[in-house]
Amino acid sequence: MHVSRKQRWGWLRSSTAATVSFVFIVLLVLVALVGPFVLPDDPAAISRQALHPPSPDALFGTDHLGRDQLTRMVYGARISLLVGVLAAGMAIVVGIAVGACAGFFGGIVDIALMRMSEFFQVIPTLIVAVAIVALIGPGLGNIIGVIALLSWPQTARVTRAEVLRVKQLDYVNAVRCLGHREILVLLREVIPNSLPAVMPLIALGVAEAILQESSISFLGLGSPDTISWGLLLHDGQQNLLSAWWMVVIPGLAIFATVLSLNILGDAVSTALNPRLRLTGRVRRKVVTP
Amino acid sequence: MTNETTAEPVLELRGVSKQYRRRGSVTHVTAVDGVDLTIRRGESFALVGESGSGKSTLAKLALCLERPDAGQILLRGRDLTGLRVSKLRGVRTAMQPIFQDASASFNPRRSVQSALFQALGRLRTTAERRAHAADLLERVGLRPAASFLDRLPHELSGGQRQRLAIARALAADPVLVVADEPLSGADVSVRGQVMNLLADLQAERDLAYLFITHDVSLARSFADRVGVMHHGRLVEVGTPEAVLDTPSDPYTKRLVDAVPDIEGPEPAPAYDPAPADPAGQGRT
Repeated sequence: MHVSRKQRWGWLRSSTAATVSFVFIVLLVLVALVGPFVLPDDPAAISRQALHPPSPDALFGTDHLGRDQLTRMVYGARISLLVGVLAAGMAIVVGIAVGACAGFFGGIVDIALMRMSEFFQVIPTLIVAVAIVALIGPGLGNIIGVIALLSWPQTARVTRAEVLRVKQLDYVNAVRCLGHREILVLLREVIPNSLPAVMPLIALGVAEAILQESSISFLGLGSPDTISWGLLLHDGQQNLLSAWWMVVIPGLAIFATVLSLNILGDAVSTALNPRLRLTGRVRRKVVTP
Repeated sequence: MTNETTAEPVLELRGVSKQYRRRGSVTHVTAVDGVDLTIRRGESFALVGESGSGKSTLAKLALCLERPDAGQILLRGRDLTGLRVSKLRGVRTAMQPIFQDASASFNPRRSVQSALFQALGRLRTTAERRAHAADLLERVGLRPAASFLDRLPHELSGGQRQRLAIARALAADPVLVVADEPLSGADVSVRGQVMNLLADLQAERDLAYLFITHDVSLARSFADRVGVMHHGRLVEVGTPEAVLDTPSDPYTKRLVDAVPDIEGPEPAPAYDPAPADPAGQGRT
């Protein structure tokens, strides 16, 4: 559980795919952060010939209104990543809180919270997300909220399982015997030591949220002024036969980002699971039950 | 140690029972079955029995880490059984655990100092706590204390961790220490040192010990009284000599006979030379 500084990046170096994915995500974040200050064009400016294929002048071509597709991709990366990180972050915080309470307090609290999370797990996420966005309006905040609302149960279940394991460990019982408040035992001993199990879900959650946002925007339910990769796909789909680049480029960007995040999530999960770890580069203290 | 019958009772168990439901089934397993037990101030009580006999469950029940299904648990005369966790908090510090696996006894993220501070909440200032923590480390033989305070549990050896566990238990200023197989994880050289430390601390602080062990010879050498557990019942209680040398219960007899005599070529006419009595085995 305690990883020294030298070993801190071991999970990453142990796999080429993970290294490539990590570099890709870092570059993407840099582009999203810095790009808008470097690129000359306004993403909304109708400045060029419409539906111009990729050329040295416009690397990713132009869209049906003559807007530079590269500029729109960079601005789209901002929104897609922002939605991904915020929605996944909210979902994970809520999931940890719900799962920790369910696992730690047990009994009726556990039953109530887990039935609630099952309710959210069995509804068809995309359809419900679309319905809610259609009802409350297409604002960016609404979309983030809806995605978070529909994706916390996975974190909750993983957290609950880990809390159930950690809460009966000797060191937790030792602190109980010292007369500490239950809520502090949960916050100071149990949750910090349950978090490693949740780590792999961070990357996976961001990937999932990016996909969800893309789906919602692709269906035309995002705000037309909020440029995201899903919106670009939505625009491109109407010109699919005449302008392949309008679909392929955002599609590839979503594909590569989601794939990279999934690989990263797997790498973290492998590094934390001693049974899956074959290279032995990461040594984590295994707490025997 | 001679005043077992006159000193005030520290821990009293009255008809304590605990059942567990089998996973995926409606049948119950009785882990502890109507145990009566009194431990007095300054007394060492050893609870012996094979694995699965319910000794560890009994330790958990005594420490209020599990609630009994029936019976009462009294700590210094106060009934803990019906107490809510919030009420229990202030009372339970008088008994402290020492667990079997010292490496699992400490939050891997907390330094030695932080772990001890958790037990020193009754002291107001950090300076007081620091001084007290250092004293405790010195007392259990982790010297120089200053070099240990900032270490993490995994940076200590197994023996050092067990000493730290003792220091933490002492930090809460208990009257009773419940030690569940505290030596089974330690190697032989450490065992003797830890046993001596526990004996010294008992003399200093008039501590009572509830010692859970499967090691009959340890119980014989250390305990004032011995209790034998079998299938959740306390089948025999008495002085080590009475219980272990002249066992009256058939189970105790088998338990004692099962101990290989490794302590030397002691002439052992007192032992039954035929421990593998087929009739006795058949009655399990």
